[in-house]
Amino acid sequence: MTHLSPASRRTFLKLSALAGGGLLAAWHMPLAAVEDSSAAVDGVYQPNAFVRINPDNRITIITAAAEIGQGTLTAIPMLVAEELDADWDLVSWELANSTREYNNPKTFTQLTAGSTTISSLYQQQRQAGAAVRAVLIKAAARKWGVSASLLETNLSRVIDRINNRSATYGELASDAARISLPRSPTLKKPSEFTIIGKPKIRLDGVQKSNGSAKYGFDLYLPGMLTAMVRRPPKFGAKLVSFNADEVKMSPGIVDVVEIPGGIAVVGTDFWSVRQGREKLRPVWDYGQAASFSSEDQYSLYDSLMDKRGTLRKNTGLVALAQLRADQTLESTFRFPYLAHAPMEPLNVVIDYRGRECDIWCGTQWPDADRAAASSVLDLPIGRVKFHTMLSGGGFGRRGTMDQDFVREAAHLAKIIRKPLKLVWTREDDIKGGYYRPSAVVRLKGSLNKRGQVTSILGRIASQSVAIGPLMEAFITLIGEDVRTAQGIRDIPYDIPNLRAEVHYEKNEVPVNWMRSVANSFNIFALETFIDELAEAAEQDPYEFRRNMLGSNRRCRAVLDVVTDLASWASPAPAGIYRGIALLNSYNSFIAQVVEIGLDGNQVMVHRVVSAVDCGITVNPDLVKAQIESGIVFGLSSAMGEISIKNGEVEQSNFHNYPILKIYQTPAIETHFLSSDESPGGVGELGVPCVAPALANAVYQATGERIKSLPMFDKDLVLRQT
Amino acid sequence: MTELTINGLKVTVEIPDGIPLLWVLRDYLHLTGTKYGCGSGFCGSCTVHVDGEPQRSCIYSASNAIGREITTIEGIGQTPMGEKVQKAWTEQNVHQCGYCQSGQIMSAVALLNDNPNPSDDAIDEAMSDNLCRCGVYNRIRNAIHSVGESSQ
Repeated sequence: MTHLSPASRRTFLKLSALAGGGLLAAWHMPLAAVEDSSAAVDGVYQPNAFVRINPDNRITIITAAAEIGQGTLTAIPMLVAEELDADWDLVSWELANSTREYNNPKTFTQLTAGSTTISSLYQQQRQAGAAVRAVLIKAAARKWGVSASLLETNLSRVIDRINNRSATYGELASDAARISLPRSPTLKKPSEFTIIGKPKIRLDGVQKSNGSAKYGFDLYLPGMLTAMVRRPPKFGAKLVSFNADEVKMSPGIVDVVEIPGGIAVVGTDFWSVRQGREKLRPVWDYGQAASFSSEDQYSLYDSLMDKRGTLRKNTGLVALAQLRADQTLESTFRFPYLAHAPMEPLNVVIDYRGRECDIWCGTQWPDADRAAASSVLDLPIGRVKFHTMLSGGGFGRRGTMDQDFVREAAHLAKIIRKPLKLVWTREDDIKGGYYRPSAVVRLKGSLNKRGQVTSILGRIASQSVAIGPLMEAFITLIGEDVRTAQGIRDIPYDIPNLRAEVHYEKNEVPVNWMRSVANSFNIFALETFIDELAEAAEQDPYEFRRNMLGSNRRCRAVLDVVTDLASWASPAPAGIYRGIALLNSYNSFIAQVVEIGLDGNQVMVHRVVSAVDCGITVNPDLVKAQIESGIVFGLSSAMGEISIKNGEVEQSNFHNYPILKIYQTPAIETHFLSSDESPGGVGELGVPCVAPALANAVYQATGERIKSLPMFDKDLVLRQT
Repeated sequence: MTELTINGLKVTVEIPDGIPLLWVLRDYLHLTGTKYGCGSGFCGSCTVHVDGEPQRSCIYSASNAIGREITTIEGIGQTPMGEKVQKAWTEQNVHQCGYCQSGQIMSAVALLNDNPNPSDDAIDEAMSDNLCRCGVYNRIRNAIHSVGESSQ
């Protein structure tokens, strides 16, 4: 019989080791050469921030990007291992902490977002591997007294064929540690790849299958307390008073304190804290907060549709083109707030000890979180150690502009001064804001006598996802906040006169980027509107799109392939209706055909066929998985909404904020066009097209144009059991 | 003190009245493979087996489990079916973020123990209350079929 007590020191160390060495000695070496033999402590050779070679020839690749499910813990090691000629079977992963050498070389911050990870690390990580390989060869050449040019590498060995000898990387580690890394190592040609382009098994798959993978929620420190925050029930409400003494009497409750975000209830474990928090009777000053509703917001946005907004794109003369047009069409679309709802609710483990602090968190933006904690705690940044954990989903929620979750944890840690785990319940998550903003989009297009589109005017009213000082700086760096007009300002079609305008409204509802950001609404509006224009021009939706893609070869190619795969040219079988959509974003290209059936008011999504050109696919099976994931995410977005009435969010958990279930998931067929182009992004690529392609299919089936999301309500539902 | 049998081991633990099994596993025993996703039985991330039946441990009172065999994701690999399912999940790259997958695997093992070669409808029936925000449902379906076929 075993008696188990709360976390022992041993469990703690075991957990942190499993969590990716968060507590192990730091090895913060930049990419630049390390000229010191101490780089091979105990025979472990760590030539740069990304590679560690052990004497037994195991290689650990330290990955700077967050693993939120997209597979970076496998794809990034593949990039390094390829150029290193590593034995893939002996490669393992580790999540990097948050120090400057792990910043993304293109965004200068450690942000995992915008489908940028592989595209921006493709060169850097291969160079990191190639440089280490060059040093290992040099070490062997010196050891054997032969020319480096006569040596080759394979499966983590340097091989001297002429003299019939070889040495493992592990054996060469201590010699290699004395040699500096070359700055511009030679990289392989794509035709020489043996790892990149191969469908490797996920390196984190075994741990995620047997329960040993450690997410932030799974971390237990000795003596750690659990905390939850009661946040205002209406956005913008102010706390007046609360019954701290009564709640403190509740079993397991240690303290009840006010922090900037609300009332924090601190106790021994999740259950006790949740029970205790339910006994809170706060008094709020609602002010204006009680009067806010999503419906009123739509009315406000609608009223802005007749007014000029801030210009985001202006080519040609839209007004003149529309005046001279043979036909003009106008459509207005409504999009609700959406919650990211990652399966692992937000959580932060923080251990603030007065002069220093450790934070463990599954996050998409560790360096910004670390800076936020250092600011709240008034500690020099060097005294805040940040340990990135596996994330149970992110979709943007784990990378907020104001670092809300880490900031809140830091405020609480300042008061409590004990190791803490701040957790969100699912209700806290669904009701807590940081949503994909709601939006109204109006498109006005014109056609000439030959049925060609002569102009498009796009007007978007929404909230900007760019809030907070960091984002202000970021936007200044990139020039402007392009996100809200994304998808329309960079339309792939040849539209001679194009104008995109944005109206920004501010209110108390916190918003944030969600997987595919403004493409998630703009592409719905655009791609269903293109179908309306095609109909007005009496053309097939595929041919109509294709005719506008004169200069965009890669878009044409994915359209051609997808229509071929979906037999677009032949009539659909009886009872099957098809819709199509196209997207060029993240330096990638996707065309989708959705096939549906209709049974009463039930829509059955039978099949989603995609053709994708995303350049070189580092791990084809995981890239395919991203497209599959995006499709399911996009379908979920078509059926769920966050609505606000009298200031209060009406949804609270998965029963009223539904996400797709297995029986509703269509067959998904994804074809990749072979390409030697540099990798484009794929994490968001599958999301935007599926709902408009579905809506275009629904029009074929019902004759109804869908202009308001969610598209499924009581009149039209996604397949029910 | 409450005595529970978890993955074949007898454990005694002092727990509050009414606490769901999930929080005993996680906060008291640090068996963290079983996940919290919704706390209301909607998402299935917390699925464990009690006497071989899948249960939502977030709404299953720990005291109900006294005298019963509790199996979690940490123990299911010791059973022949659990091992097969975990292997299929890994080899077919079913996981993305992986957070819901302990629950998915526990539901899949229960299904396959009951019905060694389930039809698509049977999979829908057994798996539809296990949510996955990464949307890996088709891979889950294929992995279950592959285990089913290998059992024939």
